[in-house]
Amino acid sequence: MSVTPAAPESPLARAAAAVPAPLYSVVALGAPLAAAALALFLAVGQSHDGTQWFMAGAAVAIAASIGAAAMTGGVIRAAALSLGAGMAFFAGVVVLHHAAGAAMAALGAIAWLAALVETQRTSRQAAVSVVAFLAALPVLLAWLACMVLVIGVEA
Amino acid sequence: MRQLRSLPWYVSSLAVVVLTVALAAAANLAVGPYFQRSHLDEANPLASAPTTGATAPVPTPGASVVPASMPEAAPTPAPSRSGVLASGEFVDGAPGHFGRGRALLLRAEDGRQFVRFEDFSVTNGPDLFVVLMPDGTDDYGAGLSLGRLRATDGNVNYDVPADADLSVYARVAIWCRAADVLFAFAPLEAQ
Repeated sequence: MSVTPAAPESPLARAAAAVPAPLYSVVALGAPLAAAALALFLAVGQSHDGTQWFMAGAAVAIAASIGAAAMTGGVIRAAALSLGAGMAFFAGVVVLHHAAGAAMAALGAIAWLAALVETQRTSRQAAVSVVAFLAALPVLLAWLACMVLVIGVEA
Repeated sequence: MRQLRSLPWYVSSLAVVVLTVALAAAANLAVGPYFQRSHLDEANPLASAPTTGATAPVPTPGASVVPASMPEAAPTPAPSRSGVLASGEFVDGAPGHFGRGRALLLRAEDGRQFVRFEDFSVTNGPDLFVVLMPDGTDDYGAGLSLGRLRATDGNVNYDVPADADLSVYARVAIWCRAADVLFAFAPLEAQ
């Protein structure tokens, strides 16, 4: 029995149909990894304790989410990819005064678009991707609060 | 979720973009300052003006603020006195906010008055102000505002209105006006 796919109705659906699978998968995994490398660069290169701790934590979290995405599939992979992209984006946004921070934010946004396309293609659960991406901000804020209030990192 | 899916794609996409941009802007404005430091190293305003024998010696950065030859600390500085009128060490404010360094109340011979921070460092944040506070109140909005914090680190001077009676102020505070949070303060002791 053959199933006729529904006609693409949004740019996301059209992109999912048009963009080759290897391209968006590589971007969805590679862009956050590059952002994690930039976060490590910031953590090592800055003398400010708060930036060092925050960026080191962000790098670990991004790498962990990408690792989880690489080992899973379906909705969980979509959520992990988008969470990693969101952490890259929002961690970059709070340090926009650094060029590396702006690059992280851009990489996070690109990674999220790629993750959205992949999610649309595989599961059509774009809402999961959106929620996971936005959930990255409270995760990062919780890490910042832990740094300051529990670990006692001084700015 | 089902209602969201029933929306036209351009409506839901626009909503997501607007929400993302709003969250990013809020994060940058509220959290971004924590990661930004600024350094200012200004000369002691009393260093350029010679002092008479009746006035306190001019303090220099790194030197003891209270020389051994100085007389016993008076409860309140005499209005006409110049030099170091009071000083204190910065301590932490609300949990998660730290302050380090020394605050000095200075008066030049020509009557100009200053608050000077030496070896100063404070947690950065949005909308920070330097406020002189009278004793017995925590209403920082009612204190004498010396303006926005000019630098998070270094040696920095703040002008105090010449007609302000410095004897009534018991501490100098770094205060976030937007969130009404005390970042750091230095209790002042008359010299």
